[in-house]
Amino acid sequence: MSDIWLFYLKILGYRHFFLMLFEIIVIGYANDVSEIMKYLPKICQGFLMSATLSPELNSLKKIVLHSPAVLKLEEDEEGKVNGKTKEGNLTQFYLTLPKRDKALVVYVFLKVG
Amino acid sequence: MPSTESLLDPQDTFATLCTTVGLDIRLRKGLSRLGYVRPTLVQSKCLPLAITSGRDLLVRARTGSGKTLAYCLPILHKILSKHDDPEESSGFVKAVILVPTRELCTQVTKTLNSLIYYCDEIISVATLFSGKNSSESAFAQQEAMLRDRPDVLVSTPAGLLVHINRDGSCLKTSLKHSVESLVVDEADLVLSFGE
Repeated sequence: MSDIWLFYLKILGYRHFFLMLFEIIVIGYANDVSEIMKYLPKICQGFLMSATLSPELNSLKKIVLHSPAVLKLEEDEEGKVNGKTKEGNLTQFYLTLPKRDKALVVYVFLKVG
Repeated sequence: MPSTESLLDPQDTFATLCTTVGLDIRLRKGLSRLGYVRPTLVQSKCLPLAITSGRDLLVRARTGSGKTLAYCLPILHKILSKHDDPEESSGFVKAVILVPTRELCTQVTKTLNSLIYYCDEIISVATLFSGKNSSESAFAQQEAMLRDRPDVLVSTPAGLLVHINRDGSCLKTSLKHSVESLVVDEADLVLSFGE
């Protein structure tokens, strides 16, 4: 690590140092993308995919998208809609069976899926 | 006993979704060949918006929720639908996909290539990731891929810029005239930036 970074690290502390690094990195990425945008046609469909929507992404968003449709998918929502399991719908149950029927019932469950 | 219809909704399949959005038959076949049966939430929301409305999209979904498929299908569909009514354009690159790392480049390219299994004579994909440090031979190899006039470019932002700056006018004009879709994937995953 070069001296200048060590200097920053000392005066800023770890937390701020990494926040600063993060900012530099995000800005760098956005700069590259905006540079690329210059070589692309004005009208083209843009997709911006991300796991989070941090404020740092705003600059990228402005560069890439024009009045976008925003999809925010929450995890709990996803579980509910996708698996169609509302809370309490996922239940457990057991059957009391005589020993000789056990294999048969397991077979039926596997077969029915 | 859990009721079965709450677990298995017959409407909630790729087949239904594809019919709704009118996805190209070759992509449908590619999907079913890969064994995809049920779309994830992000896919079932993205596909109608991207294909039918053609709007720009900002999507927040966690890693592993099927985002890659959610943008790959619309751009491939767009390329196929334009291909069927021949209109001469001066460029060749129709879509640009930007991802932060070269590992992701490889991964996305793999997905694309498996999706275009039934139309690989129409669509071709090229991966560019030569950063500042990459070798001359790797660069030459990617230059050769560009000369094959790929329809889809998968690249890191830095990698694409290197090619734009070093390549002659060919890539530049193509980008300017024929690109219809741009994807910035994993926009927040930038920690490995700078290769």
